[in-house]
Amino acid sequence: MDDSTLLSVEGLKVFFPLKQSLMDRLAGHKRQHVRAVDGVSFDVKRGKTLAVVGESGCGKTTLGRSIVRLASPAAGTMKFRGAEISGPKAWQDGTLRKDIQYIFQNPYASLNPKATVLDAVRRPLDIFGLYHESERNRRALQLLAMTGIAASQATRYPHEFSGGQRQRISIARALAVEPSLIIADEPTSALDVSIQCQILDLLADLQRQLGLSMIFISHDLGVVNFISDEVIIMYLGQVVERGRTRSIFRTPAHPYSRALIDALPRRGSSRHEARVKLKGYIPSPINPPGGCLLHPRCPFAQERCRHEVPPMKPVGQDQSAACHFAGQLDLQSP
Amino acid sequence: MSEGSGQSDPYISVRNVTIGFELGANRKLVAVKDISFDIQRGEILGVVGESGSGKSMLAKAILQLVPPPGRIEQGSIFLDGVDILRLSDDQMRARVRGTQVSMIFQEPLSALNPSFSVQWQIEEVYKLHTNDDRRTRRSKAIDLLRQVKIPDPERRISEYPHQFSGGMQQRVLIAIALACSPKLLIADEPTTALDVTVQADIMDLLEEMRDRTGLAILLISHNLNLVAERSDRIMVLYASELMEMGPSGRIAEHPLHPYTVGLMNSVPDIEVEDQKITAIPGEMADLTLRGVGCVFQPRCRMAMDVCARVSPELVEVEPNHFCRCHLFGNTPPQEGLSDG
Repeated sequence: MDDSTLLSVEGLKVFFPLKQSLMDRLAGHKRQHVRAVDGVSFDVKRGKTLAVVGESGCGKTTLGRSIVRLASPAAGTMKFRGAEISGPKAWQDGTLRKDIQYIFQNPYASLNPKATVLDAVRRPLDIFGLYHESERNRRALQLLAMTGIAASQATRYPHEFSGGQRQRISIARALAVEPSLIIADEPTSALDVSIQCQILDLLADLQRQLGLSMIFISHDLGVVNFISDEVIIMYLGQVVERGRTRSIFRTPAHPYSRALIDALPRRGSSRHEARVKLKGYIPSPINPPGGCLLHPRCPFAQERCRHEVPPMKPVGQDQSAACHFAGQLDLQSP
Repeated sequence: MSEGSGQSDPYISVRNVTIGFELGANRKLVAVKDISFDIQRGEILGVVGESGSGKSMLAKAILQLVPPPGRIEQGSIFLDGVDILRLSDDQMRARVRGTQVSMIFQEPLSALNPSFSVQWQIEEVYKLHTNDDRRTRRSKAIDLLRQVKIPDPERRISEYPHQFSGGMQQRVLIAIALACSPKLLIADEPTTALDVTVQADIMDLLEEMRDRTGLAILLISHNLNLVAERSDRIMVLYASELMEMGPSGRIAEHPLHPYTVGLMNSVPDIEVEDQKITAIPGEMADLTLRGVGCVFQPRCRMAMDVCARVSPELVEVEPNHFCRCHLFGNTPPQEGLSDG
C-alpha cells in the first residue's frame, strides 16, 4: 500500500443469514445467506473520489455501511491509513468515527426533528470535545455558512427546510469533525435535478478545498461521471469492472457496464438505437449463478462462462473487467 | 408525429385548466395555472417538471381525481369532443376512468393491493366494466400478462404482488391499466422507482403498445433525458405554469426558455468529459405567494426589468414550439426591449 492510499479494502464479504425454520434445522439443512457483498476489493486514494455504482440489490449500500461497521463483515481486511479497521477494537477510541463520516440518502430521516439545525451541527463538536465550549456555536455557524445556510436560519428545525437545504445541513454536520473520508450514499437521489446539481457542486467544491477523500455510492451514472475519479461497477455483490471513470464510461469492457450505460436515456442526437440488452432479471443473491454471475443474462455468453469464474483482467492502462472476453468483445455493435 | 399537432383532430384537448387549493385565511395555492394542450392518437406527450410544478395535479385533473380542497376552477377537457369536466362522478367512472383513460403510478407496489392475487386485481377491471364470465376473464388476464411480457403467465397470474420484482410489478400495473383498451394512458413517473436497465425495458414496452394499438401516452417525469428520448413532444412546467412546449428533438437541441436551458445544464451527462454542470440558483417559488411578473424571474439568469413587472404570454416562436418568456416576442411595445 503506497502513501497515496487512504483506505484499502481486500476481499470484503458481508452475508446476511436468512431465517431458518425448525423443520429445516432438524433436517440438518445448512443455513442460507444473502451474499450482499461477496469478495470486493478497492482502494480509496487521498483527495480522490471513488464511486460505487450498481443497480438496486447489488450490495453497494451494504458495502458503504460495512466500512463504518453499520453491517459486520464476514471476511476481508480493511486498512485505513495502513491500520486494520475491520474488527470492533479499532473503533473503540472514537478516532475512526471522527475520521470517517457518512452522508445518508434521505436528509428527512437523518436529522433529528427535535433539534435545531445549529444543535445538529454542534453535537459532533460536543461529542468529540472539539473547540472550546464557547467557540462551538461559532464554529457550527461557520460550517452552516460553508454549506450555504445563513446564520439567521440556524435556530430553525429540520422540517422548516427544503430537501436540498436539509442535505446541506447533513453535509455541514458530517464536516464538523474534520473527517478525512466521507462516505456519501446516494446523497442527491431524493432531490430535484436543479437542487441535485447545487449539492453536487457543493460536495465537489468542499472536497477540493478540504482535500477530502470520498466514497460516492450511486445508481446514477451521469452524477458519477461528474463527481468521481475512479469507479467500481457492482453486480450481485461483486465488482465486475473497475478503473478510471472516464475510461469506463468511454469504453466499457464488461457487457454489464455496457448494458448499464446503454440503458441511460439520452436526449437529442446522442440517442442509441441499438443497445446491449440483458436477458431477464437479476437472479437471487441467495443462490447466485455459477461461473460468471452474468452468464444467464449476457448476450455474449458462451459455454465457458457457465462454469468458469472470470478473473479480473486488465484492459488498457487504467481499467480492468471480470469477463473472460474483456477487451475482445465488440460492445459497440451487439 | 408532431406534424400538424393542433390542427388535426386530437384525442384529448385540455383548455385553460386552472386548479386551486383554498388554504383558508386568504391563502390560496394555484397548482395548475391556465394550461392548454392537445394529445393526438398514438402520440407520446412528455411532461417535465420538478416537484411542485403541477405535473401530477394535471394528470389528476384529466381523471377528475383532484383531492380536496383542490378544485378545477376553470377550463375544459375535451375527450373525443366531449367536455368531461361536465360529467358527474358516476359518468366519469362508467365512461372515462379505466375504459378511455387509465393511469400508472410511480410506486407499483403501493398501487397494487398486497392481499389479492394478480389475477384478482386484473379481473376486477373486467368485473366492473364488462359482462365476461369467469373463464373469459381469466383467459383475457393471462393474455394481458403475455402482452406485457411477463414470462410464464399461466403460473404467475395466481401469485401476489410481493412475489414480483419492481419491474414486473410495473408490468402488472400496465396490464391492469390496459385491460379495457383505453385510448389514453397517463404514466406518472412510471420508471422513477426502477433501475435504469428495467426502466429502458418498461419504456420499450410502452412504446410498443403505442405502436401496436395507437395508444396516446401522457408521460410525466422529472427526468428530462427520459422524456426527451421517448416522447414526440415535450411540455415543460415550472411552478404550475407551462413554460415551453414543442417537438422533443427541437427542445433537446434548441431549448428556448431559460428554465429549460437551466434544467438541461444541471443534468450531468456521461458523454461529456470534465463537464461543468450549472445549478439553477435559488429554490422553487412559493406557490401561495403569486406576485406579478414571471414566476421564474427570481432564479433566471436572463432576467430583465420587465420580467419582474409583466407576466409573459405563451408565444409560438416557431411552428409548434411555444415559449413563455419575454426574450421571445411578446414584449409590450412600451417596454422597448428590441435589442435585449
